[in-house]
Amino acid sequence: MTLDCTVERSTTPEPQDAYVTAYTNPVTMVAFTAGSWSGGSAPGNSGATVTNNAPSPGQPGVFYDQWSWNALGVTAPPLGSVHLQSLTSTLDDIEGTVFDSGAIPGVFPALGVFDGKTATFLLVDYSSFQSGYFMATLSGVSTPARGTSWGGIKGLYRQ
Amino acid sequence: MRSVTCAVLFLAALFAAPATAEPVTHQFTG
Repeated sequence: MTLDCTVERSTTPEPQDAYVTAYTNPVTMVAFTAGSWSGGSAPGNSGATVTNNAPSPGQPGVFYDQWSWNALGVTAPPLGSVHLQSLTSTLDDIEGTVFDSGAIPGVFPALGVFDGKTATFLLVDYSSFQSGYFMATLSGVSTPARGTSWGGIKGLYRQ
Repeated sequence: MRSVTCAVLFLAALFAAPATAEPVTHQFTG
């Protein structure tokens, strides 16, 4: 499967506590393929959080980092009577070494440094009003520099 | 010398300036 997520890094950060920074509607475009099923659009609304060096519950001295986002209103062709409801993706680093701030990541390291790396597609069958999901384990990531703006130049020096 | 100084100042200002919009697209595979 593939999952492309465009996020606006200039989205206003909303600090939640000393470790978690939230963002409202940072995702501007989503595109995915899962087998022969594919879809994507600008989401109706979205959210994201960056966690930096949060203490692990019950484990003093162990910190964790996390990047998590969700998107609702992403369009995709229905699978019979089953419709895409929402998309969620979370990367967890239980060593707390990946992030050094609450900023939206510009690039990610190879995903091997993350302990959890999932994308979850929530689905609803409107004929029976049952819900379900499928979850994918992410294995690779790249973030091409944008070649049409100063972002392309800055991308050569970014972190 | 002056042109070098100007160039350095220009580049410093350019990279220090906050981007008004800076989208990035993360492409995941799984």
